[in-house]
Amino acid sequence: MWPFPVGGSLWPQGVIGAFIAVCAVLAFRAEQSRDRPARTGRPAEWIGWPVVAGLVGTAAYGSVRVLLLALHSSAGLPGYVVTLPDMEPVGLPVASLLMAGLLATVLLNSARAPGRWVLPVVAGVTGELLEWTYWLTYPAASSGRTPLNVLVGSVGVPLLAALAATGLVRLANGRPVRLAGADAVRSARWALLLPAVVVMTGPLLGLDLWQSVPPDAGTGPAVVAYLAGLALLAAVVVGLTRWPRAAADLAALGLVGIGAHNVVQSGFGRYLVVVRKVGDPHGPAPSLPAEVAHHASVLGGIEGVVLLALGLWLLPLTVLPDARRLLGREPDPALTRRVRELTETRAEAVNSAAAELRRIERDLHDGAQGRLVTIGMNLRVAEEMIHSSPHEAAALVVEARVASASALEELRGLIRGMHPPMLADRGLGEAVRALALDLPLPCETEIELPERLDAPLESACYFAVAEVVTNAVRHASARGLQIRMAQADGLLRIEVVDDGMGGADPARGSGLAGVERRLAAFDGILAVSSPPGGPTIVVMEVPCG
Amino acid sequence: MRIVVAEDLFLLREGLVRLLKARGFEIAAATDSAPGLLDALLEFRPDLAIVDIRLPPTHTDDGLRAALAARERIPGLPILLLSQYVEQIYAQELLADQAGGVGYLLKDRVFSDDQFVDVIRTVAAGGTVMDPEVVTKLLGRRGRGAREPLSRLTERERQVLELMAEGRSNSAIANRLFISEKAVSKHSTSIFTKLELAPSDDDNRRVLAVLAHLMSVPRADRSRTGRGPAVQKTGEGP
Repeated sequence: MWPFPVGGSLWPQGVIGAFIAVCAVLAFRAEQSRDRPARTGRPAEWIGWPVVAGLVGTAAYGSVRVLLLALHSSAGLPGYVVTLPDMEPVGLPVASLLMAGLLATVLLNSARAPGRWVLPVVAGVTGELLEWTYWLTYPAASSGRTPLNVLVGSVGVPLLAALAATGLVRLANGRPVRLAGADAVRSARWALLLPAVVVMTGPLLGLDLWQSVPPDAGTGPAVVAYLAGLALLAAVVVGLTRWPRAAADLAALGLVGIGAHNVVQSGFGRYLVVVRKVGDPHGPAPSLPAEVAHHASVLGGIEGVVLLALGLWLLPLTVLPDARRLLGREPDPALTRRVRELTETRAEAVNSAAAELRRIERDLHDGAQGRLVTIGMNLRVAEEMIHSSPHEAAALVVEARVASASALEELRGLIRGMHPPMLADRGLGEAVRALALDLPLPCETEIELPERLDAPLESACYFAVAEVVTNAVRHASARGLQIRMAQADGLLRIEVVDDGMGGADPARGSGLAGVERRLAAFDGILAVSSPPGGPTIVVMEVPCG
Repeated sequence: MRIVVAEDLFLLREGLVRLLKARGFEIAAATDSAPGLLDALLEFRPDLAIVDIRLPPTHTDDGLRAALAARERIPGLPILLLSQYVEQIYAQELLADQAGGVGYLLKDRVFSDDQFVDVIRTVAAGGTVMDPEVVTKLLGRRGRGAREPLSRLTERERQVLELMAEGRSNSAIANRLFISEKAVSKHSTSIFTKLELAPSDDDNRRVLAVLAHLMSVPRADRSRTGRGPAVQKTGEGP
């Protein structure tokens, strides 16, 4: 049993505490064994010290509640209930800010795949849900709250938090999340938006869903107020997603503010515990017994220190650079990053163009040029011998003709390597179809390209596909291939699937890194899924048109 | 025999015209662009058109398009495509109407003018000729699976099939492989049985059937692998 004598069930809080602890341990271990091979194109730095810090913070935040709830039960104020500020209507925005900071800390360093999102968001939602289950299963403490209150409350806080945290993730990643699965996260975000709107509009405009509805409230005014509030809050949320940096700054400042506040309160021997009369949430409250107040203050201080530390750690990543930028001391980081990206990809492009030219020069020199010299010499000798020994001359001429055929063949190969004729004739779609036809194994193509793309982009995409396909044929011992290409919303998406043995890894120089660099010059990205045993799926996305 | 030549490189065009004239062919027109080709074909209705795939105005596949357009208006108009490279897609388009009287050769083949003249005669007579490189590609892409009918052919039958797909007659195949014509026809009967094709005495029908078989998308042999993604194959052997 729980160490404290409790009146209600504390298991939900215990479960969430354990859950978060397990997450923190996993994160810690993953951080320790960081050199594992990456499965996406970019080295996966998704898990790092921020994740550990964020989870520790969440655990601290949750466990303080567990302890306080246990304490309040042991204090036993007959007819009254001790509650926490973030469960009060006015406390909601503060609690959201707090959760946002924690989630942001967890997500700060995470990469783009949605799987990495799920953990902290689920942790947050589950935490709130369990917390409210507690309030429901302990009727004396519920002060007349309904299941709707609980549903709204358990979704609202983590949701608002996730919204702000999105801002921080984007901030850290630079590029917007685009790859497969990202859409799912986006739609889930919007689906969860409504409850958040509901919960936020209540306190703002008098219809308090959070608390039980006053019996004398008219329906008409309440609905109007609710709709108006809905619009208002929608604007706030859109603002948050539209200006993610501001959301991120707000979350960091929130952590610092709440942490500092709790620490100071603790210094004065006080803690933000609220006492309510059961069944009358708005009535006057008595003061706390000294023992409860003492415990609350100490725990509040500890929580405050953890939150403050996290907030201070986030500040230099968010608020400080923004402030410096606003004051004109520092260029826009997004701009700086773009400039760095462009500088890198330009250097890559120039280098690879030069390397390509050197390769062509060498091929021409060793191949066709040499053969043409031979042909010239043969013809010169044949010219001299044509009268003296016509038979030998004829043999030399035949030799020259054979050499010219080989020279042609080499030139043909060279041209195909520079710019396949089919690409010039019919564009990317047909060129890839022709490529698929020439493969020594069955290859299906599903290509939907309504119009020709810019020639440089066509060429880059063609050679990217060719490289990926060559890999599949040469290294994966694939038995069949599928190539899908489609253009939508200004984005060209190419998917190459093979049923080979898998294990492709851009980090280990299988040509995929080169493809990634080549696509980067067009702001394109590449992602690889290739578990041992296959199948290998390579997805490329390039902005077009 | 009256021939229209379409080739945009002046030297090559003149060379072709000279070669053809030397071999006793009559040149109805020599043009350097796709619109010019279409006009010439519709006006002169020659016995054969020798067409470079890449022609002005766009320097892409204009030659092929013009030739196919002309063939739509004059069904069966014999077309011999010349190109610096061979593409299966172009071969498929050329063979799509199954009417014969088409050829597709690399420009290099012009060097061996005896063979080139043979090809001209075959195509003009309604036959079908494919460049060995096209045939190699077609055979190369065929699968490795045990259910693949091609894998049931013997080495000799495979050689015969290759030459057959290039459009050679039984006697030409016999000469090339140093075997008797009777042996060739025995091999070809066996090939047709193994590939489950309807036998035909007509040389051209035979070539078209073989090419159609080779161009059909091969069935993927997945019987031995369960982990690949579910794939619906479109199209199968005839």
